[in-house]
Amino acid sequence: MKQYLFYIKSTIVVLALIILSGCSDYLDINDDPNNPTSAPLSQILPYTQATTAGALGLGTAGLSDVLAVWSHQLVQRSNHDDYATDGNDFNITEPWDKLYTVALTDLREIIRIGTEQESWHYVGIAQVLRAYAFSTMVDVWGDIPYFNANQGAANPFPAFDNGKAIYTDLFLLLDEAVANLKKSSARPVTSDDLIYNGNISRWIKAANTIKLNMYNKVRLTDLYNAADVSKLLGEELMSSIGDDFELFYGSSIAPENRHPAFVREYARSDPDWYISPYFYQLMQGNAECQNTIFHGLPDPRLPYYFYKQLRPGQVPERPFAYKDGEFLSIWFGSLNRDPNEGFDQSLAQTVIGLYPAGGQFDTNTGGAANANMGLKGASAQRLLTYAASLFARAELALTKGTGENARNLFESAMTAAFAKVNEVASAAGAPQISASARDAYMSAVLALYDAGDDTKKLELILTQKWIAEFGYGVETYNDIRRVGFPKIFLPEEDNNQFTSQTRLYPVSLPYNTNDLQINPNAPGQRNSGIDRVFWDAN
Amino acid sequence: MKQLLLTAQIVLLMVCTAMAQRTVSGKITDAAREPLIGANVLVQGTDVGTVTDYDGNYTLAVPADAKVLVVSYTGYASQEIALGASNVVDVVLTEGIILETAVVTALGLGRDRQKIGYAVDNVGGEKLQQVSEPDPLRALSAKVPGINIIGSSSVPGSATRITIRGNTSFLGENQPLFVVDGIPYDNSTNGASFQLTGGGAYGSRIADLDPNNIESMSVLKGSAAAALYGSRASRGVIVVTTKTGKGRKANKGLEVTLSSSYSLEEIASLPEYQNKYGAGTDFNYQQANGSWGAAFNGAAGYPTRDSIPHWLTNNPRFPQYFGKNTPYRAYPNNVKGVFQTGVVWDNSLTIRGGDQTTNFAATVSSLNQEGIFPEGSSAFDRNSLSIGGQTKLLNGIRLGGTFSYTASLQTGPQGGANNAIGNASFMSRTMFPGRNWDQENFPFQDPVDQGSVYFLDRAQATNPFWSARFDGFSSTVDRFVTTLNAGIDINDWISVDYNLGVNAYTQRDQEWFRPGSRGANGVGQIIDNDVTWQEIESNLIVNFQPKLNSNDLTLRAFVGHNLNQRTIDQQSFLGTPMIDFNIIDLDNTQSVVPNGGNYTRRRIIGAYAEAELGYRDYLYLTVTGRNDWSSTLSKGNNSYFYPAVSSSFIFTEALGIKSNLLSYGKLRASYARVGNDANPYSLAATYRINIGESAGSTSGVRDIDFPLNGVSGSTLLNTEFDPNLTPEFTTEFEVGTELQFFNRRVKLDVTYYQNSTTNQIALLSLPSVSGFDVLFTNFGELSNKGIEVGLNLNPISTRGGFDWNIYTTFTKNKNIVESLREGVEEIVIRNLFGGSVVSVLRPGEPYGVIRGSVSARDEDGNLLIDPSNGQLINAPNPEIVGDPNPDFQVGLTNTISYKGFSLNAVLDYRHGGDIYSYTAQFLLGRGVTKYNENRELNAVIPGVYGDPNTLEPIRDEAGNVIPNQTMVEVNDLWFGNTFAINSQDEWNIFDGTTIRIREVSLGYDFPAKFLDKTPIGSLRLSFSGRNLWYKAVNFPKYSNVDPETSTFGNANFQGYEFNNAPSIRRYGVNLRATF
Repeated sequence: MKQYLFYIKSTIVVLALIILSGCSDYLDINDDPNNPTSAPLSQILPYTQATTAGALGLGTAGLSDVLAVWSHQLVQRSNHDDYATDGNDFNITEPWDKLYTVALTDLREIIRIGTEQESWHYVGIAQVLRAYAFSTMVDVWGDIPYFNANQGAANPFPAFDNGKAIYTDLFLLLDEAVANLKKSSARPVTSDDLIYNGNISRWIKAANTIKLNMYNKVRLTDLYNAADVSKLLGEELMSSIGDDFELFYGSSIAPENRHPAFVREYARSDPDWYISPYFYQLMQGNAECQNTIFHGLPDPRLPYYFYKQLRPGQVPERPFAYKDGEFLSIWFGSLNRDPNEGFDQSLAQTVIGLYPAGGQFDTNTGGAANANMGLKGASAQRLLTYAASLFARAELALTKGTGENARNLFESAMTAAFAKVNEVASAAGAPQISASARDAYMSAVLALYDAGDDTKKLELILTQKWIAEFGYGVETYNDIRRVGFPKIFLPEEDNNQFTSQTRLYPVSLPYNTNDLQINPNAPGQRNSGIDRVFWDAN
Repeated sequence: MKQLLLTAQIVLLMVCTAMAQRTVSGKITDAAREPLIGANVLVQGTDVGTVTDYDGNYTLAVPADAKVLVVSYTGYASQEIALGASNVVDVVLTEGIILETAVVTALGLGRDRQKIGYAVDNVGGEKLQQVSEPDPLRALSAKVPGINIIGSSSVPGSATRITIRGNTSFLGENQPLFVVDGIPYDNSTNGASFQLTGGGAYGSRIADLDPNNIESMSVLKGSAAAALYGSRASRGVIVVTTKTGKGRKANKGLEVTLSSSYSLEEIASLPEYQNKYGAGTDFNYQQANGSWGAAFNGAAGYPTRDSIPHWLTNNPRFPQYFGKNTPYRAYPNNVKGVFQTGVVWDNSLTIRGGDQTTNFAATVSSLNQEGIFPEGSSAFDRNSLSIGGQTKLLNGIRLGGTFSYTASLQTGPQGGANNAIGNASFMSRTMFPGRNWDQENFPFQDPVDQGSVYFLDRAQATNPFWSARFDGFSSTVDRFVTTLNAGIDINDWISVDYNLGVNAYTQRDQEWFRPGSRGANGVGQIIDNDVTWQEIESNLIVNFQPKLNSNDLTLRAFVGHNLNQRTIDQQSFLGTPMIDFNIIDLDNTQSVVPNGGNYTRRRIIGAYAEAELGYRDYLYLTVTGRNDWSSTLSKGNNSYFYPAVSSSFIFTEALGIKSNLLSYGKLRASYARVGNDANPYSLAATYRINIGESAGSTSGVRDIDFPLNGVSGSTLLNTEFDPNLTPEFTTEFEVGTELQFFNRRVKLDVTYYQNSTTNQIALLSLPSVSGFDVLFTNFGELSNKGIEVGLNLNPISTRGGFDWNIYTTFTKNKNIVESLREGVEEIVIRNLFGGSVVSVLRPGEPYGVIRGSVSARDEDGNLLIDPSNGQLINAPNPEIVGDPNPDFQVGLTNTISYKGFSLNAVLDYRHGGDIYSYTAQFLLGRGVTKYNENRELNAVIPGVYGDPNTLEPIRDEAGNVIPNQTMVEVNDLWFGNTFAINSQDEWNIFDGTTIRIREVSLGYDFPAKFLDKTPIGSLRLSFSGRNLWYKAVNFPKYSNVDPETSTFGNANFQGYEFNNAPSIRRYGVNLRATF
């Protein structure tokens, strides 16, 4: 019996020891060993840059996937045809989610950590990216959460702020960014900066240029500040194609580093996009084009822009909706109307070429698009180019009398746009556009400019800008709504019974439906055809 | 002094017994006259008793005034024998009814059913075996009230979802805890990828449990029953006792049971296809997906043609078809021909042996299943070995242990939604090919690049035969479970038991797309996913069973201590492109990148106690309490206590009711509260390093990966954390009654329960604009209210041995989201495809209702019609379009036995429960079934004209709405902004009401005299059929989709069918022999 008592006693003692003494250590295992609670700025910055470029650009269910269709550069056999979309559209929800939950939250972290560390260059870069992202979001969605956004649990259901108030604040944010970029930084930004490789002066130029571009967008509102614009024109602005605000992809398959639009057009043997015949005909200078602004003026950039899969004389396997030589496509506004629009043309359709996504330079020999072509996707997602900034300055000079010479800016803009194509061509080992071909084209365009009235001049600037912007739909979508140029394709006026337009041109995008459902402080859904953004005075 | 007293007592006892007693002896056998070794023989109302020896004989000195002997044996009905003049009492015990009185409850404790104050159902292993169903959970369907079981797929070995009394957690695990021989048995579904966008129908890990080794399953449905199991008990517990873990004595010194089953499986039901129109649109032949093209010869009305150019006529890889035509005709069996007949072979051998103090059992089993997918591409092989033994040492210490090892291998085709980027599903077009596609006889492989060849371009779909042969997934699992238990009786009322167990497995999954598939950009890809799981459980229990001074009161109590540790370590890799076409190995890829990983470890310390107080033999009160200390909560919040109390009152006994009409009546009531902790690492935000979206960590669209051009990237996880999480609690109240009528011919067991889980630890959905997707915090309340009925009727039971038994189960549960956080209107369980159909939680709505897009209507509910085309207009805001929870379910088990024959049939009925069905949608949209065969006419969708921009109805001059008169072709009715493909989600939701013949078996037990001269002790032969017939009454006619399917295995978002394979039917023959 004594023995048993001893057993019981010792059991109880052991038990008590485990419970009492062991407790604190035994249960103290709740730190994740594999995922850190902090990360260096040099790792957060590249992730947020890539996410921002992806959300706005072409190929990753970014905004340009829709907006390149609505700016009539590309056509897709999808609901985006006939301007249809809704708040469940992947191409709307994905950019919204990626920008808010990934890019902007990480930017918030960079600003917080960078301020603590006095790594002012990181702070400044993050502020520029934040201003660029938010201004673009206001441009497409109008009123969005800004002042109380990205605060997590501290403010889980932010209200939506007025787009104009956001713009007002972003102007100040860009000033602050420039001030921070001019300070000395505790930690330097180096190769982790996927946009400018740590070149701070280029970031300062980008900040000023973004701000100037924003002024151009609001030039018809009372936010336009002539004095500020004039001051900006005296600051450092983008001054060469080396200053382009763009993010370079690579050619690695695993990890997947390729330009997402390249992956979709070349790597899947299932190209996603058709080239808008309207855009194609316009660049050709084709008389059949609904828009004859460049009639008889073929654009030397054509073989850099599009790649024709059909070999010369090759008969497509299937009936087709639009074919011109080896160029094969479908029309906007033809979804479920054109009996031939639905045939699979994976191996026959013309796809986006070398310039927009690192694809193939067109030598008129054809062949199925594949993943080993061209730059293999090692190309840039261009966001705000030097050329685009010159087009904007030309527009401002023409409409607001900024004191700059609109014609010179227009010419420089076109020169920069051609230079950009040649830059990509040389990277790919493709032939250059000769100076003579370029000059012949440009002088013809400038002759039209000189002959036109101010409205024509504006149309020429914005139409050339549209061509230069190929592959990034956001800026042209803004221009179409802001200025009414470039003129868009009108399916009801093309004498084609298989195209039609029943919906209004979308003057803004719907919000992510999920977000509206979850957020009690959200407004009602936007009606894309009717609800305009604040700068859209037309 | 103490010792002296003890001696005096013993002497006194000896004197008393010596005064008047007699010796009774006899033999205890079973119905087959086989001796029962170790049967208990007890004089009623005394401690005087003995056990039978090796030959079933006993000898017992009984007091002279003894009136009744009680003979009992595990697995057999106890008998009370009145002692007469004879000193020889032989007893024949009959098998089976034992489960009526003894049930296994929490911690594996066997308890007398009548003392229990809550609902427990015991299911004997024999009900789960030899019924042509290798999955023990699916075999449980319709046999127990209160549980809901849904199989995910007809891929062999695929997961099965089981919930008991609904969901108690918003987003966490809602399936019950499985406990096998005292040790929790993890039932996770692991897998390399999300089943929407790719991958296979992976199994749930309860599949590692050998069903042949199941002695019994006990379903502890409510919190009161399960509370002692701690944090995981709120969702119910299934306690499994294995043959090797039970320590039952063998009938003889050595008993060998051999069981063997062979079944064939085939598609249960195919759609009824139309065979009048081939591929195309608008009655024109085209090489298209839909069968809306020209009529075949003989179908009147439209022009037709005899032949069409061969699909490969322009393909330079197939010169033999150059310029060739092929007949334009229907291939009525072009779907049936894709599938094969599957086979299930299940063999098992159990050996039992032992003597008075020691017993031993071993089971070795082998299951080989090949499914219905072509080329033998789907299989589930499970081989297991289990051993166990118990012994009592001379010093009184009881020692026992078990060990089991299971090796399983699952292979299957690639699934998921084919339209997901980078995916290629075997099912992409398999169920709705063009009616003129001769799928079976079409070349499926390109002779040059070895890739898929199909009627459609590779970019659209992979040929199912190619897909089955060259794409796929596999899952290899090795699982070890080992337990050790020891116990000692310290005195006659205190005993100590200790149980230690480790349950561990490694799972290795592979998924591959070979070069030339639609998947992985056609370059070939291999994903490896390795999971290591380990759970350690320790329980120390001190039992008290003091003799009280009152004759009316009994007390039984115990205190216990529990330690539990769970560790999971998972890592995935992705290799692409593949180099050699044939080798499925990461070494055979150009480059390998990490594809996400996860490590968690959690611990719990628990202390618990239970006391059961009995008054006479009709009133029982049980009180339990448990306190847990969890590693997953912060120091101040990690200790929590929860109590349970239950009571049982046998009123027939208390009131002295002795009637043939009401033979037995019991009331029971219980109240319990169960606490629960969080997942590990749920208190602070972390960064993810070098995770691209292709690793599936964020939204799901393939984006670029990091490192990008050599630069590494990190991002803050999109989850916001609450550092002050507190435990969540489930409280449950339950009342029930067990009534037996007409001499126990009618037995009714009714339970009503309501439970509510409050202050849930869950992910609160945040709008993206907050910068995060979710906030991990405490909030809200989820409730279940339900009724469970078990009704057993025994209308005929003759002396001639004819017996008819009907067991009916009725299950009704209402699972309601009572509240979320103040001001929060919705939580998303999981986004699918960027949020078209999505499972959500909304206050006042049932759990996991489906939100989806709808068509626009006017204020009177008329559909708005686009005047330009006569089709529907999309509404801007989604609505709740479906509720996946069934309204109620009824199961009916009929058992008829006569002499050696027994016929068993299980029918069930499920009422309600909506499903979003891709298959039904595509069958309609592709125009392949008889449903839209009659198509040479136009239709007008009932509705009024509306403006697609303003979404307002168009009004005439008088301000009235204008009824739609714009006709649409039948083709456009099912392919367009109308009712099937390209329609709004609301049109693809179907009610899942189903009637089903789930199981039929006919068995024959050979009489003992046939076997006398053989070594065989018993022999049973049976034939079984499974899922013999079903009818989903509210699905489109001719689609024959089986609603009992789920793309998402055992996930919380249910009610989705994204191109699942059709369900199957099995026929089997089974043999069981003992030696």
